[in-house]
Amino acid sequence: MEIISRHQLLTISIIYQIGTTIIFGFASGAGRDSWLAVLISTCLGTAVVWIYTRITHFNPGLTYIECYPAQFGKLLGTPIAWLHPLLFLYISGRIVADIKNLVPTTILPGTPPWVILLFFMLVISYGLFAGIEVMGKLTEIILPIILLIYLIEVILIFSSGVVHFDNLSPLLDKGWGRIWEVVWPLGIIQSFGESLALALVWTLMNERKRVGRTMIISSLFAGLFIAFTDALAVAVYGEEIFKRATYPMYALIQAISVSDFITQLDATGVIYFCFMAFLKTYIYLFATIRSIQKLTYSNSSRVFIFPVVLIALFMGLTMAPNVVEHIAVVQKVIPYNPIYLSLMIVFPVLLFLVSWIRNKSGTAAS
Amino acid sequence: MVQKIQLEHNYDYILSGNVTEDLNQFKTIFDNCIDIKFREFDIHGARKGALVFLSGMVNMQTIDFEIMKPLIESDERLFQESAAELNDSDIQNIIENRLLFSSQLSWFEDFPDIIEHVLSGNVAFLLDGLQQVLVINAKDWEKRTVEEPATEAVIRGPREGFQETISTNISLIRRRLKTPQLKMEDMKVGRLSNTQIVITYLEGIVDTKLVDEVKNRIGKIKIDAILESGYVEELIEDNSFSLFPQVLITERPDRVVGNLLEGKVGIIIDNTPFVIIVPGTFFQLLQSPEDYYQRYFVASAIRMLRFFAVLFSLLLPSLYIALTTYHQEMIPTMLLISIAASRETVPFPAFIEALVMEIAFESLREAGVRLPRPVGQAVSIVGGLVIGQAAVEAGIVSSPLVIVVSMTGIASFIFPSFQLGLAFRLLRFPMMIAAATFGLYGILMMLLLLLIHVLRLKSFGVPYLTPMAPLRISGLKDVIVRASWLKQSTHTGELKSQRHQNPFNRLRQRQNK
Repeated sequence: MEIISRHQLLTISIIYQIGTTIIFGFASGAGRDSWLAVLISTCLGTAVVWIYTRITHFNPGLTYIECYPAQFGKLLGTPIAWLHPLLFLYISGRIVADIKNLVPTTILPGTPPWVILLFFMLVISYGLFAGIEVMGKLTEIILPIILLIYLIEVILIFSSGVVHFDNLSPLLDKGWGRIWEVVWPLGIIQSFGESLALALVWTLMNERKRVGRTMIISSLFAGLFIAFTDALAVAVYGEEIFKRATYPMYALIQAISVSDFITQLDATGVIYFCFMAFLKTYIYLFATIRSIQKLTYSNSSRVFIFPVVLIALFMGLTMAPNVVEHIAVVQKVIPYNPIYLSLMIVFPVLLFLVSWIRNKSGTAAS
Repeated sequence: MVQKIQLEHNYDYILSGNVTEDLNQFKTIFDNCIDIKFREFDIHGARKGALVFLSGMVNMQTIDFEIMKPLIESDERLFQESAAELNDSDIQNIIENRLLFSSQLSWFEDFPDIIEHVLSGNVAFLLDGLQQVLVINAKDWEKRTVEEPATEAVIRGPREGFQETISTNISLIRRRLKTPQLKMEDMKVGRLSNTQIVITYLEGIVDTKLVDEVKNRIGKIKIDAILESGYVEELIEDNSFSLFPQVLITERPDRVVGNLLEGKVGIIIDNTPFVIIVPGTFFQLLQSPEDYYQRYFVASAIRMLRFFAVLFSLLLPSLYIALTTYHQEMIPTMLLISIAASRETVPFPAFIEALVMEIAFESLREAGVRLPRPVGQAVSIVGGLVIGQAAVEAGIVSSPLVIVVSMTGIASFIFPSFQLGLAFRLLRFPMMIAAATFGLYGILMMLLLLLIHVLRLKSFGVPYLTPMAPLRISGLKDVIVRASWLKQSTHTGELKSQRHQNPFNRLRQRQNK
């Protein structure tokens, strides 16, 4: 049995929650108020994450997926539970497609996308065979490095003389409307609602009681990190460019230019993104495999690795014909998709209430 | 526990008590072994005696003056007068206590035991009427003096290194730890070589489970002969399908002792100056014993320099390839122009260019090890000049690449552990291939593969990257920097004992009591 430490869960969650927003930006629809929107999403999102952790707390010994059949009964719970691996698989396919869209257009223009993705999936499969414990240790080493590089990047941006804080004001000149638009539901689903996949990791932690606290710390940290980066991007580019850019954060790195010597660091930004995407895909596929293993009562999860990886690879290659369509789906389809909303918010809240009441009456009875 | 010798054929010889008969049995066993000598003699015409020994492994002076002389010159009455009344144990008593001047002697009656002792340089003494053989220690053979180790030179620190004789090596360790807590356990490995292996540890500091595991793994070794510690290393390590050395190999007694104090186990093997220390972790392989002898600010700076060396030796050529092939925009413009100018005449892509140079450099290095000393210098001068200067002038490689390759070369010499340096030398090549195919993306993916592999490694249950992953903040004091002895109260690593080799810690504990 693999066990990860509290610190490892923390580092996995932080990297996972910051994730691909490091390139795509977060709540860019809110323009110069985006950082505020991020903070609001963080507060609400942390509450959602807290609900997830309570559910696993009320059902000790069960993974999140198994709580549905346990609480709702086999007939109703099992189909709902089966929706989760499908959702995880779909999202991992989306991240793979992100790689497919970003890497060839930015740093490897001549290389066919499928070769790039094949290499990517190969490394992920090796990681899946190695197990979550190894991944915990990996993030433990890499998170400090990422934060250090980020710090250097921020210093470089400031020393490039492109930061204009005037771009951030006036605050709220267009009212709260556009803030709420990005906060609900996309702001909550992104990063925080997606932490659902991490729920499959929680049961593997050595101090089960501290899962909740760890997750809240990581959510708040990731939220602050994203809010700061958003504010910085607006300060550098102004509202209009920030709103229109496909990859606002990628543009942020391009702004670095120190005395004609340190310039054009785009490639490092893509490298960042690739690592974040790597970990996110890894966690999603891990969650998929683990849920399938739990739902089919299999002893070994290894048999599922290759099929699942191949499906994700195939989905990534065929998901969207072009970048515009791919990005548009995030903004126009996903927030209003019933599956996303119900799996990430409605069902967890119901499950939380049911477990809570059962737990209370159970303890009262005994 | 001394393992019984495993003989090829079954010796069902039994000591008869008659010297002539027994000697014949020995002669049949040691048939065609010219290095075995037999010496028969009479003691006052009363009893026959004989010595069996291996010439070249015994001290002749000892035999002549401390065994033969007292026996032959002994008081006649001892054997003659009351010979009839003397029983075996009386005779043994007389020989042990009144005749021989040897501190190490013991009686054996089984042939395999006696043969083993004779083969390891002891003298066997046979006496008429006794069904036992006296084994006397007179070991003495040609050996190297204790010299400065060739592979782990230090500027400040003891200049003693191990040599090939195990007893000397043991004494070098014992001299540094004068405590009964230092244990040395004996094992024999190798069906034909019967190599002596000594497991050493500090009782009370080491985790006893670790000692048992080491003994267990060494006990399981089935091999004909052990010629070097590399055999043992390969047979006891956790994951032999890996480039990374998972044990620490050293020629320095002070380094062994330093590690014993941290709760590790040393494995000393006869006939080699290289001692194995387990468990071995990555960061430990990056440390030199000198770190602990120099001022700690300097030592810390040198340690950080080593981390850069690791990155350099692994990544520099592949970064050169990736940047010049795929991401030229990242290179500052002026530098890019000068690189482009020097690459203008080069007909090869950067990858081929770098590959040729790296292979040339590696060959040069390997040749330097094998060549006889006087020639070696000539080769390195010629090689360096030809590869450096002429290749650039001929337009085969560009001069920035020569800088890259030589910096990589220098970086890989900074590794305190030669074995780890070898691993990185080899890993450079897949890295270069990945960089040539996928640019920075390829480097990232290869790094992830590498990290996953390294993170899976364990050495005797200890994760290879301890204390970095799993993280142990207190352990980092002795990894990234070398904190002052005053500040190091706990010790690195996953090992059970939490005590570092700290002189002040002991005092503190005592005061607390």
